[in-house]
Amino acid sequence: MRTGVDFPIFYFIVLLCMGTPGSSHLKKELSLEGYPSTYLPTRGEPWPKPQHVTKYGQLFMVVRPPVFRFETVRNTCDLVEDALKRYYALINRRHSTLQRFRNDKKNDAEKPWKGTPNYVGYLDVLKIDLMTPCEAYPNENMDESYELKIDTPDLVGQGLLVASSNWGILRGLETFSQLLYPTSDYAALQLNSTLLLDYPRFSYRSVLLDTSRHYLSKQVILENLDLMAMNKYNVFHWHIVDDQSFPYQSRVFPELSEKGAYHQYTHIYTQEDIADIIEFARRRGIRVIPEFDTPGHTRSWGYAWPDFLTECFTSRGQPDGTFGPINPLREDAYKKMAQLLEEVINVFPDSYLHLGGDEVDFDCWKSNPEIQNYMQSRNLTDYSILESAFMLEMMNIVKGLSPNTTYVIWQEVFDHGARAINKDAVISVWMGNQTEAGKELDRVTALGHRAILSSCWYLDYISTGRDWPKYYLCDPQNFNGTSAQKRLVIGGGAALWGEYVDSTNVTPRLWPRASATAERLWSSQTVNNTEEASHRLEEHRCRLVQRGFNVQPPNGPSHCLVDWNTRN
Amino acid sequence: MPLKLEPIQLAFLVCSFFIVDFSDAYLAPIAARLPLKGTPSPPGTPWPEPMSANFSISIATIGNRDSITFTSNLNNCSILNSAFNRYSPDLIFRDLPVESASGYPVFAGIEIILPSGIENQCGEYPRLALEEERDTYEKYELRVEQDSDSTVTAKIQAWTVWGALRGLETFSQLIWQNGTSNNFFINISQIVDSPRYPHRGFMIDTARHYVDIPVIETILEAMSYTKLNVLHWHIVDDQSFPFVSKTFPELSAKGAYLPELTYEPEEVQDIINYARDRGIRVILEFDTPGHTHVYRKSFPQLLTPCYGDGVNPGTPSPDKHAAYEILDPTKEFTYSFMKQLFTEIKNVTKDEFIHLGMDEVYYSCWQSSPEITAFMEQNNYTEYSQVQEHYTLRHLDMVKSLGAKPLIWHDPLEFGVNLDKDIVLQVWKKNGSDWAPYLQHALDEGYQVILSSPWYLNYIAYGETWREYYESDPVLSLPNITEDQEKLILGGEACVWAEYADPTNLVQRVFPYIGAIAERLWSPISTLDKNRTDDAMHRLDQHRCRLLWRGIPAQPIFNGYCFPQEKSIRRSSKK
Repeated sequence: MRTGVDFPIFYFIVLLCMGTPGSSHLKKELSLEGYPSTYLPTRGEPWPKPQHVTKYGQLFMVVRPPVFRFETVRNTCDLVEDALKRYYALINRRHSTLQRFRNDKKNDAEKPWKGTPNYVGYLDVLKIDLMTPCEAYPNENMDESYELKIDTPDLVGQGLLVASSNWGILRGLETFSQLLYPTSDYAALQLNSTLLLDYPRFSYRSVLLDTSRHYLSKQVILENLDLMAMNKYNVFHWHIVDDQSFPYQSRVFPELSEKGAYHQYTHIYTQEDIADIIEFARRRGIRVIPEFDTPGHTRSWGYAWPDFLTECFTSRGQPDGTFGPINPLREDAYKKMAQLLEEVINVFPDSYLHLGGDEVDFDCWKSNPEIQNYMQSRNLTDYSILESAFMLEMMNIVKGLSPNTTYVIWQEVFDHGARAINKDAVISVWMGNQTEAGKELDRVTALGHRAILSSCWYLDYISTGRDWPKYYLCDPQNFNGTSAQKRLVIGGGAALWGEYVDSTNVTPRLWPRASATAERLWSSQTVNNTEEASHRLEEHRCRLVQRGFNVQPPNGPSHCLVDWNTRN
Repeated sequence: MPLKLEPIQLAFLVCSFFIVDFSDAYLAPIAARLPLKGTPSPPGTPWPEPMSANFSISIATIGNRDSITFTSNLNNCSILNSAFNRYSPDLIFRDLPVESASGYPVFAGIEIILPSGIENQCGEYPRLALEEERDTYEKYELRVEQDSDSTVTAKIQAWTVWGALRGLETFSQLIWQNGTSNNFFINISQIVDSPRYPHRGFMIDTARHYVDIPVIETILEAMSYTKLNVLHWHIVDDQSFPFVSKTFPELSAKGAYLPELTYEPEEVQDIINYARDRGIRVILEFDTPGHTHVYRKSFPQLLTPCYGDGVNPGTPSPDKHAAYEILDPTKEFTYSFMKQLFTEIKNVTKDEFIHLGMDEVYYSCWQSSPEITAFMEQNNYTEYSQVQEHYTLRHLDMVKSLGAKPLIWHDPLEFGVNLDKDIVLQVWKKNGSDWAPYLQHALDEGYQVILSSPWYLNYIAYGETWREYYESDPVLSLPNITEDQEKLILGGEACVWAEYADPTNLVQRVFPYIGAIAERLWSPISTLDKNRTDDAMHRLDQHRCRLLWRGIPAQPIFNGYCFPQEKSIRRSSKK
């Protein structure tokens, strides 16, 4: 990733944010009235916030596991049934972990909430109405909308989840699980009478994990896919290889991971691992989009293929022992790329493929006599032309292999050769502050490209304190452009580059900071009050902790009813 | 394939130290044009760096998993025996089989040699070494020697059991694995080692977030692997009171976050003993007169009512003070309550020091209070610092009368309070990034000090933040320090205030970065040559991999990986 240039600016920002760090033990964050202040968690408020919510006074129903069950009407499929089992287990587990707080021990009739006027009754069944047969794989056109009715006027005392696709059922089940909160005596779970109509604002909502700078175990990736589903993310952007290591075990080129992985047996993703990850994601409505970044960020490829990369030279014209981007003059490089990309397109079912194209180091190309001669013989001076030509060829290869594949490219490819790029390429905007990223989104969409944004969501950049509001308030459509242009922004995502992240710290570093991005991408543009969100995020964090994930505290001093407990 | 030669491997090749393959910790550069700096260290390099060490190129093979046998002339010493159990085959080899490599002498066990007459230490707790015993208190000499053609043994000479523990830790770090083979080796070596400072601490805060006991134990384990010897336990604060007091059970009954998020007296005792077994002192901090808001839940009369509206007691003033703040120094009840509480604490703690806090006493509430005004008139006080001094001196005298030694944050000194010279000050303030004047001030006033200013690990940032910790030196950062003043520096402490840290992220956040501070406090001042920070990076990475090997989820310091088994290491501190 993203070396060098960002550091000084970043440190400057950190210093600004820290103020005079020595002046306080952070006490200043305590407010005065409620001193010491904490953000009290909401109860039964979903994250991300649904689009339309109607509540009916203080009416509530009670779910009593294990009596509670789901009941499918109309369509179902293995994917829905699997999800129902998952959420059934999750709700039961929630219930059982609360039993130790139970202070009733009284019989059923004496439950304190039973006598209250707002108690409607037990919700023992949630009907699941899937209107159309299941789709097998999540995709760019997936319909994630759903309607959830709990004791609505037209359905008094009952619960119903309706969706036109199985993906909507998944999102609705997640929301349903989040509506539940403990009754006052902890004997059961309750939820408010609610009508909820929900759908995502953006269709592309991604988390990028980088498995090259550090290897992430399959278990940790699966754990984070679970967390993604619990935050209604729908894309896992898998930055699978880079300069540092090549853990993807290729069928056609096994030598790439044999020589380029950190360890050829243990620090790789076998085809079986990848199939497991794709399947686990599919069951949660998450697309897996792999990124094979070229022509830069490819040093690890050179362990297997030394001639694949450009040899760098000293100013005196001697090889300096280092290697730069892929050598774009070698015919062989294109043949190999075509073979590898053909495999990748077959292995990953999603119609999107990320081709990278960022941060190409022109200095090495400039130093290389072969490339110098090529440039001189054609009277070329701008080395970015080489990058553009290479990337255009990659795009041609992909189109030739699979006309239905959509390629995603980092913004430099667009910046260096905008007009030549096919209009259906999706441009990934990652550079600059919000203003600069907005200008880029304007340029990209003005030429008719779809765009995704991650500039403001580089979660590997950490700082002290409550940093999530800045992610929360970054809006992908906040730029000068026509409404048609804004519709071309299909979403974006959080990126956790791996220089300082591995299996030891990836989960707490990513969550709940990525939850802020998740709500920005799912909920209405008008959901932008960080104070209101703080309380819901506090609940959401504890919800994820209670589900067994080490999700770090977002708001300052706090505790959860069921804390992340190493003894659990 | 020229590319295959990573700088780290290249360095190993040119270094003719070893004659076999290498593995341990592998850092990877960001880009080819930004190669790693510094000289990689061979596997089996200890952290922190010993005072003096000679490693021979001769090596001995470890015969099998049970070859690490311990003997000592000090029999039936529980501290030593529990250490022998800890340095088990599982710790050193994980679940790997161990095979003898042919052609090398075989390692035949380790012997601990201690002076006779120190048996009583085996039932004691470690303490701050007295000035005259500092040269020997944690000192050890470790020799890995060839006895005959076929066998090699290790001997640790130490002067206390604590020194023996440090020597055992170093010994355990000398054993290295040859690549991914089942061959383990140790180099013939001579090490003479003793810490630069006697107080090398880590402060945890269990009030902003509760930290459950297995995590505290994990921290203590990892501290012992890093030769840190003080756990400063900031156990209560404004937000919660998890310490269960027998004298005043209401404090935790009403002040803990939840009834189960508490530390029972027996649990505190268990932690103290767990630390003792590892040669770590536990210093409890009960912070007064500020940071005491939680007392209001059970004993509201302890706090000063503020007059935020100018008329009514118990009213806040926006941006100035809360409704109630700071212990009420005008009431006798405050002093008698604290005497009872600290009498209990004195019995709970096994360390001679109790940390009394005394930080961040802000005057705006007192300034609003007519009771404080009357109190000042009564005592002829003209400054609010005299009110602070009034409480501070009475509290310090009371705690001293209980037989404890007070340790406090340096705030009272900065506020002009006159303190006795036997009070140890912990220096935490800094102005921007400049902390040296605060340390110099405390030294100029003649106090013994513990430095924390540059080592607040709760301030996080992107990148290699450990370098700044590593290059912050209590002596070299002070241009005008005198030799006498140098002797007043007892050591330092890394601190993690827990507003944003809890068991979900605490261990990862601290380890291995705290290693930078541990080496600063343990190793000779000569390690602080800035060119050597790049070398230290490779050793610190090796140390992080060692921690990972031992099940501590220490986070990465740079691109790279540790060893094949890394994949199966638990990512969290769940046991």
